[in-house]
Amino acid sequence: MPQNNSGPLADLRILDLAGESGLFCGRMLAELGAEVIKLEPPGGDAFRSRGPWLAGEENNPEASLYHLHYNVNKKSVTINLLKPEGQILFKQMVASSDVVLETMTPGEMDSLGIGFESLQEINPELIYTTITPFGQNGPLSQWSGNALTGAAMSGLLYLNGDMSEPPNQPAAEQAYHMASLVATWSTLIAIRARSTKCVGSRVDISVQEAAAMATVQTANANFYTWHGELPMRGGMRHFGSRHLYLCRDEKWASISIRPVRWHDFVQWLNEEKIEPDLTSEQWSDPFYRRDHQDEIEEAHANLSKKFNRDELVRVGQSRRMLIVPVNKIDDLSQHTQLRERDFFKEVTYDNFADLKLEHPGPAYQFSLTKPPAYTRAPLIGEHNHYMYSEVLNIATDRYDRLAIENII
Amino acid sequence: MSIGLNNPKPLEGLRVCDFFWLIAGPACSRVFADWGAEVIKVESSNRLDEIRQTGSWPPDSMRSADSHNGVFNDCNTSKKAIQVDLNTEKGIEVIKRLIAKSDIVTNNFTGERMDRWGLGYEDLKKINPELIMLTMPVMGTTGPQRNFGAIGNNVIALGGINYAMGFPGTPPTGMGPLYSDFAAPYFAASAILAALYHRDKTGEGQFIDLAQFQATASLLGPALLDYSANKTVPERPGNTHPDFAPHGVYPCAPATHNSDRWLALSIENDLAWQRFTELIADPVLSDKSKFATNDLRKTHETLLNDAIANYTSNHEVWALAGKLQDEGITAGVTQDLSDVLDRDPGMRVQHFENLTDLAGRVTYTTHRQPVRINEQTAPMGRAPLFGEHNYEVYTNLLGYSDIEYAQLVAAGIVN
Repeated sequence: MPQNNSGPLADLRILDLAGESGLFCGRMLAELGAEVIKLEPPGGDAFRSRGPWLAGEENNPEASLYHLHYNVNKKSVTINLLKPEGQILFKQMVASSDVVLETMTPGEMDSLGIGFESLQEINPELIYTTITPFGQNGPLSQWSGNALTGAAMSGLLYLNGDMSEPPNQPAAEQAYHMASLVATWSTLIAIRARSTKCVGSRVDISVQEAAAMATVQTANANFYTWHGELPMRGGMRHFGSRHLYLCRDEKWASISIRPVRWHDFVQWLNEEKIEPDLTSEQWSDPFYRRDHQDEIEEAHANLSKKFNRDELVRVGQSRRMLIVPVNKIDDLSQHTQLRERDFFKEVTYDNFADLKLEHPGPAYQFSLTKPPAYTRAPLIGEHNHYMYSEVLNIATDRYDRLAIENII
Repeated sequence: MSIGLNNPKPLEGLRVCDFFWLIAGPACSRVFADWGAEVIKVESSNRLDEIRQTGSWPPDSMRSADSHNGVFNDCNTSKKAIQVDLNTEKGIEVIKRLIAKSDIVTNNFTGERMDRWGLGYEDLKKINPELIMLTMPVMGTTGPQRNFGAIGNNVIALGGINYAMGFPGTPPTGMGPLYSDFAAPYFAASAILAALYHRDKTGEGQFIDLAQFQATASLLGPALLDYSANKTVPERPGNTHPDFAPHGVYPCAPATHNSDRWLALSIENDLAWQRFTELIADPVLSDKSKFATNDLRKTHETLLNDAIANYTSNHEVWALAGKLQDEGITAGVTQDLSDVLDRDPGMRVQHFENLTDLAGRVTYTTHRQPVRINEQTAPMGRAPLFGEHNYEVYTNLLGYSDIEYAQLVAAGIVN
């Protein structure tokens, strides 16, 4: 079969009004080949003011690495949704689009006259996806939130770190990533419902609920409903041991020994003459092990100290032990497996003297619908001409007036 | 107009032959099952999904059964389960019959397991050209480390999340949850649905190779891009935000059920800060020379955090969060599990559903799908017992007669 290079979602058009909580959803849809049009207010959206920055370009809205990361492969069109003529133009865009993605406070789009119901009159097959801190309805729907409070309110934040310190926020705003991931698959479910049932849908994601999905194991609800137990920080203990260990070369490794490999693990410890000795019969009992974690952790730590990290990983994996490096950013950037699998995508930034940057790429490879080559994140309003002149067929004199009146 | 009212099962009519096991895989196929697809979980008649036997258990009287684990039941809702011995020729014939009638095949085996059974994509597309097959080993199916083994907590470390978490000067910190086990499946669900979109248009199936490692490494925000651009290896940020302060968690008054209480608080601009100081009227925090602007607050962040902690530690966390939210300040409770289930005003009803096992003895408090489509959540059924749907699937779907089924049982293909 011939391969195509437009991605599996080629021919879908997404109007992406999302702020920080939904940027990764649009990024995924664009990565999968959809045409994702970032709608920004004239002058650019607030996410362009977030660091980190391209060195020497601090506060340049085209050089926010946060923006470049989350909006790669998207187009940008500016539009003032607070003005009536902006709202009319938006509705015209909606008529030829498949999905609207937005993250405003519930009711805000309605108050502008461009909420789901009025848009559905224009495009009955529209999928209207929202991400809000607590969902469109419910007792907390008017509470404000961000990635930190989303993690906190979901029960995810409480579980991170150690009891000797405060709960640790997840790296890199994971509550927003979870919300965006849920938004991606649920939008695609609604798209499929449309193609088989010919109706549009409203898709409503709560950051709190999306982030709560990450607690299914560590804070399984039944610990509490069955036993009244509250999982605490450092809560890895109920299923294994704390799993990060310092190696001889001061790098860290992550070790998990599955119960089926226990005897092989003990044999390895024995060959390496690691203290304490775990060979006696009582250690074969998983319940005894659960109640004597300290000795097991000491053995892990002593084993790790004996090896450089990469050697520990190599030997451990050859013995079918689950041992991997705790990667830093520079480790990842140079990682053989990621390089071999073409994870990093080079993108040329013609607006910065043809600077070449490597973006982290997709989680997956498709055998048939290869994704298109990456295109750099868009400049503010870079695709205005495309949208207003080519898609909406607006005459040049009106286009000029709209620009002057700060509507686009 | 809405699917919500007349069809809460938008994926009805799709069939998934599901080899997923443990957590990350089943959390993906659960999406399809809850939204209406027929997901048939395939387990070996010799070896069941390990997660049936590990984790949270109901009170000891229930221990005898293999399927009462809370995690298993939360990751396998609405599915059917069959047994097949794939190490026999007959078992392979059975599973190929099922795959010929399926839209999707999923697995998260490491290495060439499926190929060794003759169930690799190149084999399967001959019997079902429209098939979509997804495999999601940790490292993917290619590359020098494709056979590396790892489970959820390892994958977080591998993907760079551990190293980026924790307080400056401390060792890398774990994430309590096995985070990648819950993020990677959502990449997988998205990829399969995208491939379905393509198949529905063109009739073309395909193979999707998902690496859980890559899924996790793609969740680091702009950090890898920052390294590419500036060679920055960031310090662990603790609970701070790079652009503004305060941003963090602050200790609150002990509660009777738990003394470890924390307010999450984030104040992004000077206006919100002004409202905050007016509301709490704390003499230290009202000092404009130290805290009036974001730049000042960033400069004096330690002092700021100490003063806020001093204030919050006398307050009950839910009441304080509510009071701050009433003023439009972004605050929340760092909820423990009992908060999520008993004190949060929405979660118990919106987000959890009680499902009961076949015998009616055990009730599982189960997460719903975290989304409403046309105001409806997905209708869930309980997770299947080991081999619960053997007879139904073998006879009704695969067309084996009762006599043939009995022979398969006698041969040990099914228990």
